[in-house]
Amino acid sequence: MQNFPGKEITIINTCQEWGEYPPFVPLWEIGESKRGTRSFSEGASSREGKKTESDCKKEAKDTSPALESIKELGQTEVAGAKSTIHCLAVIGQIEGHIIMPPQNKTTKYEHVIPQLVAVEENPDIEGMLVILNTVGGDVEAGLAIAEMIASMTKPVVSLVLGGGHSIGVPIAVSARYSYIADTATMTIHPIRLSGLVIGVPQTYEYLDKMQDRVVRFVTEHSRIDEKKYRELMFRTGELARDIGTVLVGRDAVEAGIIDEVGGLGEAVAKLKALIKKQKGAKAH
Amino acid sequence: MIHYTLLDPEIIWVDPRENQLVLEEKRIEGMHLVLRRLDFHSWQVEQILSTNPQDFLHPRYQPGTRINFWAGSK
Repeated sequence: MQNFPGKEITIINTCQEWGEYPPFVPLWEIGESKRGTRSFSEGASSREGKKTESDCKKEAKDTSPALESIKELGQTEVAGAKSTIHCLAVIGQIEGHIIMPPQNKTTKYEHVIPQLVAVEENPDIEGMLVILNTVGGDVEAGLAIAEMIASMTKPVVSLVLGGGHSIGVPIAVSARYSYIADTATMTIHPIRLSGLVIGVPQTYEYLDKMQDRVVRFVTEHSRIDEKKYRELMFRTGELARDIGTVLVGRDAVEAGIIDEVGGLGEAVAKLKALIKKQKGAKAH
Repeated sequence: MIHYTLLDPEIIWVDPRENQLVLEEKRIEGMHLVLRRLDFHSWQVEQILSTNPQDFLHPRYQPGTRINFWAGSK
């Protein structure tokens, strides 16, 4: 399969009004509709005699979608292999209650949560791989994703590539087994407060409670104990403008947060082993 | 809301008026895509939202592909 960034495909909207979209009906499906194999054949055939736009001429081609793809785009279809392992990529910021400005790359709560439900519920999916390269984000959304992953009955393996910082740490440890690439980093640091702060002791207590949620989740789902985790979190002198610790690859494993140093090969192999083990347990 | 991140807030929370980038989510052929609006009837595939790794091999919806939508005439 080849990828040509900048190539073009054309889709014709069969809805009568622009306001009705979606659904859009892709051009390659209209060829099939002529043979009456599609439920929307009426909408397509009503337009047959009234093609005014030059681009619409293509729709009259009575070819299979695969053949059309070769003609139009010069490439063949990828065989629709079914994956029994699904992959969740957690990238950029984890977005919660507020939509972040578009220059941020974000992983959205409303995308991820239904995907996790689908993975858990779909009988064709046997396991999930979580790949992390995140700088952190919303505490509530991050913990929600972590809790969802931790409570899944299907085997989940996480792999930290690049970075799994701040709220990325609970997500990394939420999987049944976690890997970190040799060069990947994890930054453990305290939660900060921005915006209007009322200078009363209660503010600190509130912040401490929020901090405890993260600490409790990480310590419950990894080998690290609370004392050690807090020590890493409040260490001074390592980060230039902040307090905390940067753990690179092996350091995270030695600290007890991550299970093993490894890459994609190890992670997939471990996931397959966990799936096999789970199947074996069910059979007995 | 508490934002727990490494990045400074001034990097994340810029003035929304400074951004003209328009991203839209659409579902086409069962694929959930994030599209960047180029003009009235064309979009560019920015991101594929799926947990199925096979979806990312779909030749029609590779990131960077330009999609033209045409309204069907009555």
